[in-house]
Amino acid sequence: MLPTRIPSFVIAALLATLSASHFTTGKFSGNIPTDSPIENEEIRNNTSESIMNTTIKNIIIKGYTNPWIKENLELTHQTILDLSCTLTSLPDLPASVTGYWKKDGKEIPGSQTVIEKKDERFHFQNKQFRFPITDSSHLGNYSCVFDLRPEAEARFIVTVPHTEGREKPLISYEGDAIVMVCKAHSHLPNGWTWYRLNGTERNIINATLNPEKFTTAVEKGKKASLKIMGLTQEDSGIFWCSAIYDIGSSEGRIHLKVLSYTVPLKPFLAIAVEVLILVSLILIYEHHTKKKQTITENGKDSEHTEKLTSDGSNGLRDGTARHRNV
Amino acid sequence: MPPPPTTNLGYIPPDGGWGWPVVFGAFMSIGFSYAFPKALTIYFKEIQEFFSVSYSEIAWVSSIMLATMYAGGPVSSILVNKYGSRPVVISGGVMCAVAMVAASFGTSIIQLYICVGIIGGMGLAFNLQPSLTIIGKYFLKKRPMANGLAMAGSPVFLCTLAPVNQLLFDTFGWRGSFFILGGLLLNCCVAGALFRPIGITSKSAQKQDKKPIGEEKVNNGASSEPSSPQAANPFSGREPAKPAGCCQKVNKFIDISLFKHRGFLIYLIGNVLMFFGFFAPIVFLAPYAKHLGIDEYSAAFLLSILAIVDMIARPGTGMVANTRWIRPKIQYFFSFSVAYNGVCHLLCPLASGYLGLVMYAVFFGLAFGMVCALLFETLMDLVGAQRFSSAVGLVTIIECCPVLLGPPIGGALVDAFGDYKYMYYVCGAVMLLAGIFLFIMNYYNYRLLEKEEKEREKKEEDEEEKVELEIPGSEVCCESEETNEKPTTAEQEA
Repeated sequence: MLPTRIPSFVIAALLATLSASHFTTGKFSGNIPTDSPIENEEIRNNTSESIMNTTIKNIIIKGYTNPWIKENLELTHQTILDLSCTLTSLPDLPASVTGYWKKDGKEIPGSQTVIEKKDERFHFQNKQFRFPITDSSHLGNYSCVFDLRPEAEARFIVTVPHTEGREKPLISYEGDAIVMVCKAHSHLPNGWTWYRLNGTERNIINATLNPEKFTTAVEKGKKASLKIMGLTQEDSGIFWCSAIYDIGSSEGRIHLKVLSYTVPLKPFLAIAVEVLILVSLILIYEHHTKKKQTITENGKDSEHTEKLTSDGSNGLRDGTARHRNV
Repeated sequence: MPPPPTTNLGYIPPDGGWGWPVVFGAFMSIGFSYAFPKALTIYFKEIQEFFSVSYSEIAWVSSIMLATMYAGGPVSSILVNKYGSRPVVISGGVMCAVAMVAASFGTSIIQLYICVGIIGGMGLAFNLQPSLTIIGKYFLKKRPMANGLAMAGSPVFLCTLAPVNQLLFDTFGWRGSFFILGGLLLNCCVAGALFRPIGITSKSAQKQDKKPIGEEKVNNGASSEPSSPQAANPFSGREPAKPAGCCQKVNKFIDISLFKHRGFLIYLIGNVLMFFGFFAPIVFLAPYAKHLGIDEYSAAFLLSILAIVDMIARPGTGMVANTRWIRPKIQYFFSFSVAYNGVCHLLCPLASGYLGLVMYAVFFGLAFGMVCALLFETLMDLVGAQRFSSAVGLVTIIECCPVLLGPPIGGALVDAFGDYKYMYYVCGAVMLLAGIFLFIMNYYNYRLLEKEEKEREKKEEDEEEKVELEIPGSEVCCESEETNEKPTTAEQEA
């Protein structure tokens, strides 16, 4: 769509200069990546859009599926999306059908196209109509819709690679240190930021300002870690790590809980008390039964010796029996 | 039911009564010993991130703990020989608790190695050996059953410790969990309290047979002779001349003369061979399932199936081994179960798909349980309950090597061939070989024992003709128990 191209080009240029200035002022606490992304941006500024990569994706819709077919597209750099859908395996296909594109559920104006049936299938692709992805506003759900009764739809979910934080809370103790790790999914982000939310306000964690408390590190670009020393109760809460790409950022969430040392102490003491009680009970019972035994033993002393000698004579009898048998 | 045999213990074990609480205590002790190092692996990922170390470095914690538990066997045996089971288990429980509490404050991975690995491992060793020993003291007729029940502690504890550990970790983090696990390990002291000392007390010792039985507790005199360490020269029955001095001194603590015991040597060689292929298949079951395309949860479920079948197989095997058809020839039953294990592994690569692997897990669980239930029962059967504590110490320290080397060698095989089936073939072949070796050698051993028994009986009859002696119940059913002790009992009577 020609009208939309020029604004997006301008937006791309603005974004490039903005991000370039970000890198040079060193606002991000992560490792400053190499110069190449900045250079690439500047090159793109000067040349036409056709240098941008084209990402081609196709979905084949075979009959009515429930739910509709979805395809995830994870993009890291600016690109032009060349999306297409192929509709087959429907009974009573008419000779031609109208198709249009939707972004985030809303029809993109002017995207209506008439598609002819070819080889029992409808291939919806318009080389003049492609989607440039240059910033985060271009990310979202792109759906191709075939105007039939009922409609046939396929969806492309265009996002930046998601970042993995931690689902379960991270537990640590007062005075201890903790290491939080975020992993980027598949691609190398340009940088990382760590922040906490105060209402809707972002408090960015700056390791250089506070080196005794915070240390950040990035391992091979894909894993970012934040080490917090000297934990206090105030550090409890939700931390966000943000992986920054050319066209947007994705967040990972980590929930930190800081406990005091008395918390595990209570179950420990409970178990220790239980052990002590059980051990004392067992030993007391044993002492009790032993006492009873010695009392009865003393009474039955003579019987005891008789029993022993009878045991012996048993053996002797058996021995003699064997002897006799032989 | 076979007639009550002599045990060289100097008394008839109760085979019940307080024996059952003792079995329960042994159940707990053995459960902690075997399941704890494996259940610790749940914390490894978190600790790995915390200390910024690689996975293999953190896996060393478990390996060191297991290695120390096995290597600490002789130390444990010496202490049990000297002080009896109860003090050793209680101190083992306290050691483990202290180790875990200290580890919860650890600031480096080396501290974890020392606290959890070495001290914790020693504590577990102090739990394992005495539990096995005391079963032999309390049971004779029903001993295989008691052994099977006690060994069932391992899968039961593994099944319970794993979710408990996960729960503790989610609630308290790894430090808090280690702290609370220290408390849980104190329960080993409860098991220790149940291990009431049994044996000939000084009173009954004086009354019995006018023979100098020796120390007040029989478990004290467990060195080389059943009853009289001071009386006759311990080696007179076996070798005519033995250089006195260091060997005899060592023998007072731990019975190294076992290395001349034929049955013991057969057991040792067969078991060392077996352990090379014993643990690797379990370690690699889940990765193999994932390799075949099965999802993670179903793969983990295979291990649960294995554990559940194992739980049932151990007491079941104990019951079967107790029957009068199997008990006299229990060594054959053990060799059969080892060989059966081998056959299972050899057939494993034929299993295709999830259902095939489930069947393999069921059969393997059965085989694994059978071997584990009989593992120590056969040793008791061979060397007798008196020398068992020294025997188990020596066996575990020697088995330490194949137990630790087995999984890494299996892993190397998998890496080398890029496929799991060769590892299964090798493990299966090794175990089948071990089973056949044990079978043949035990056949030979049984034959020799029968011969020796006949010679002994002939000798006894000759002696009885000369002298009137009180022989306490010389009926024998489990001939293998008496083995090389026969000439020495005759020696005693003379």
